Amino acid sequence: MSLILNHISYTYNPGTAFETKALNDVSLTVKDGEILSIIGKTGSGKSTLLQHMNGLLSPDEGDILYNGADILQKDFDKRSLRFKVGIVFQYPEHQLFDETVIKDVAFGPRNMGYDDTKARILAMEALEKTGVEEEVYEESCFNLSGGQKRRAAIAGVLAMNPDILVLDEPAAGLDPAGKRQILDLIKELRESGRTIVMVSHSMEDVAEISDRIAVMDKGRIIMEGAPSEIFGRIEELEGIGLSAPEVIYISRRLKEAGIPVNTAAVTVEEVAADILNLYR
Amino acid sequence: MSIIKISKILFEYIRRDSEGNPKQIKTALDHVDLDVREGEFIAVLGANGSGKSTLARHLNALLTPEEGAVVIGGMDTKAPENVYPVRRNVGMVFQNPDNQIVGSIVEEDVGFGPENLGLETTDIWDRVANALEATGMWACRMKTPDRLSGGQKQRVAIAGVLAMRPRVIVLDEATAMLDPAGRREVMESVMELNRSEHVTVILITHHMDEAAMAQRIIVMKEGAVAMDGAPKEIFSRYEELSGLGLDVPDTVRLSHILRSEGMPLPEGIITREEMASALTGLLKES
Amino acid sequence: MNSITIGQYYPADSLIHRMDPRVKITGAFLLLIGAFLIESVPGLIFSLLFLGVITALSKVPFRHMIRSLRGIVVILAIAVIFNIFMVPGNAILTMGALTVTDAGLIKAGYMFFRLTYIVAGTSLMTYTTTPVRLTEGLERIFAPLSLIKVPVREIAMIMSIALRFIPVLGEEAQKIKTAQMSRGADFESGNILVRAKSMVPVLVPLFVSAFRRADELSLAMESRCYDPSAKRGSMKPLRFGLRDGLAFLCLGAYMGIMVTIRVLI
Repeated sequence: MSLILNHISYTYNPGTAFETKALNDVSLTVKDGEILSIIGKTGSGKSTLLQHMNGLLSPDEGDILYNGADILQKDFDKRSLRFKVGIVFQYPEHQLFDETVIKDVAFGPRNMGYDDTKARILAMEALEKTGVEEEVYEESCFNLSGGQKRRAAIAGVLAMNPDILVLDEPAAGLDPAGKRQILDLIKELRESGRTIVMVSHSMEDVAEISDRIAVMDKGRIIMEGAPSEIFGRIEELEGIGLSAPEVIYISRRLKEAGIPVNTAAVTVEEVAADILNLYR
Repeated sequence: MSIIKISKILFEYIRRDSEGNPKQIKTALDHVDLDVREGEFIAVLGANGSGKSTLARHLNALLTPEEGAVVIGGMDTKAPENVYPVRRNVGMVFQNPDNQIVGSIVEEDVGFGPENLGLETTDIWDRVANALEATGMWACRMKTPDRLSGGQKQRVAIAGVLAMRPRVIVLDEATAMLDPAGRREVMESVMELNRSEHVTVILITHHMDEAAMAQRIIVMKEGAVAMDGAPKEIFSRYEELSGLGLDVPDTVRLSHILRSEGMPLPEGIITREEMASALTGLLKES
Repeated sequence: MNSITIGQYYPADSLIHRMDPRVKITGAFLLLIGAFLIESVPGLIFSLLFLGVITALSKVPFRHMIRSLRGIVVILAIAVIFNIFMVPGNAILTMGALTVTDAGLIKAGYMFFRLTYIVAGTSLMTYTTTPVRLTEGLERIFAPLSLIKVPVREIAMIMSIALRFIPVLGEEAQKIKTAQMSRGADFESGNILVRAKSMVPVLVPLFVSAFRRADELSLAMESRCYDPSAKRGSMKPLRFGLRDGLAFLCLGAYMGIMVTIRVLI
């Protein structure tokens, strides 16, 4: 199970005054079972890249392979790819539409061709995973709280049981408790074997949950690696308008002061453990 | 001198059934008291549903309390003749940048408020120019809003409020939908207004790093003020904040973990500089 | 992206942009009447020339003008097809029960030209006038109606806001559509009924969002002291200048020539 993007390029509005090259020779492999985060400034091409992952956009150049199959072939069923690679867009609660929460979540499974009962079962499983309380299944989507709506919307994609779950800024705009729930949910999903691709502006969140990070700038991927490696390159990140998590700056100061900190530590907990280790 | 004086205000949202009888009553503000001095920079924290936005809407008479009083610069918001003077004095910036820009080009949007005040054309232009310069948006004055970034749109919204020459600006989660660059732009604009124009700022936010920049933090819980104090003091009450579903800045959390494991770090560390130098001292000794 | 251009302001600094909106509103209206006066080749050529000159003066790129036609492709197609088959005359081609006539072809051609002309003319007005200015112009033109209790100012404000939000909602519709497609929604297959039904997952969220936006916008407007009953100031007061007078003369001449051509040829 893997998704390979091979040297893809994409231009919006080609041949017009609004022509913009959104992706420029991008190669990226999503590995089985990992959490891959994509970071970059607004307009660096992250969202365009995501839409190539399930065939919503087709590249002008390059290939995309899903489990070895070329998804750009004419006879490839793009609609079925959308069930394998599920994308949760920014503010997904804005797309809720059905009368009840459970009906809305069952929309994806019904589109897959499941009968009502099976679709409902899949919807219930997904809602359970995302921690939406059973009392609200039959409520209108619009009566839920902000955090609940977000989790119900994620369930709407999860209910299709995708191999790869792609999330565009899943925690944006939520309060700290809501954000915590989403991050924990992503970790749980990975634990249960799902592959996750996440776009986020929060370096702290990215440091906490990612196995690997890809950094985008001006339609290109300019860095790729483990969190400790990426966040070790603070100057380059700042050069393209990004930053590192706060604790990285602290451990860098300590290192400059001659203290042998472990630069592999990227989260508050890891840095704390490292400092305590040095202190004792 | 206090610019905002809130005493014991009560506000309830009532959901009614089809016959108009109350079905569900939610107390959004439960006898809140608050005093804000002119020129203060206050951050308001609280989980969703804790009453922050309802409080904000009381500050410029979009809502008026059922009990108690909100007095802005000596004017009670309940008096009908005070509504517009209050709104002129307290500007609001809302969450979604797209839903508060009325004009189709930047300068016309900034002029909307002054036009509503019935000012002379030359006065309007003075104010528009000043407001655009103060927010660094002068160069974009002829652009249409859809050509702006989220951060720029929010700065236009701030300029639109500023053109009314308010004494208070309330930002109701105005940075929530922005990327880090946009948040930085907005925070810099707002802090500059607070510093150089002495505009009182009330910043409602979920971002603890933004709250850390304020002079005073108010934490709300279930429609009441649960904590009120300087950032150092508020963030030192780590457990209490967690219990309210809130966070602390990462530096504060780090310091909390280290202290609870027995490292003698001083209290009240908020910035990375303070943290680094305190740690360097301790680690060099050992 | 950017598929809906009707009503969108095109920022530029031109003679037409600076013109009093009342002139432009009147002009758009006269072009509309003019369009129905076109019944001969000279009329067609003259009206095309006139539109060409004002388009050139407006600095709105030709390509941008063409884009405004996208929104009416369906209407255009219906009007043309209807005319081709329904107008009696000498048969040129017969396909079963349908007959194409020479008169029908000519009529369809004129119809196509007229509709295009109307859209181009009105688009030129909205391209060169910001909704706020347009609103002011309309408000002033229709001010006498407020004497018979027509809420002219409110209607004008509503119009200007509607224009401002067309592109916002258009973009949003696209986003929702993309999101539902990711959940396997199919908008392309099936008959008209099936397709209409398939739009529900897009339309419901779009309406919800429009209401939410309206709600938030009204709060933002209120908090910026908007009061429909109060006298408002004006940032760019309408001043009817010499240039505008001359523009009116040009419009008058245009109408005169159009009528003459209609009557004489």
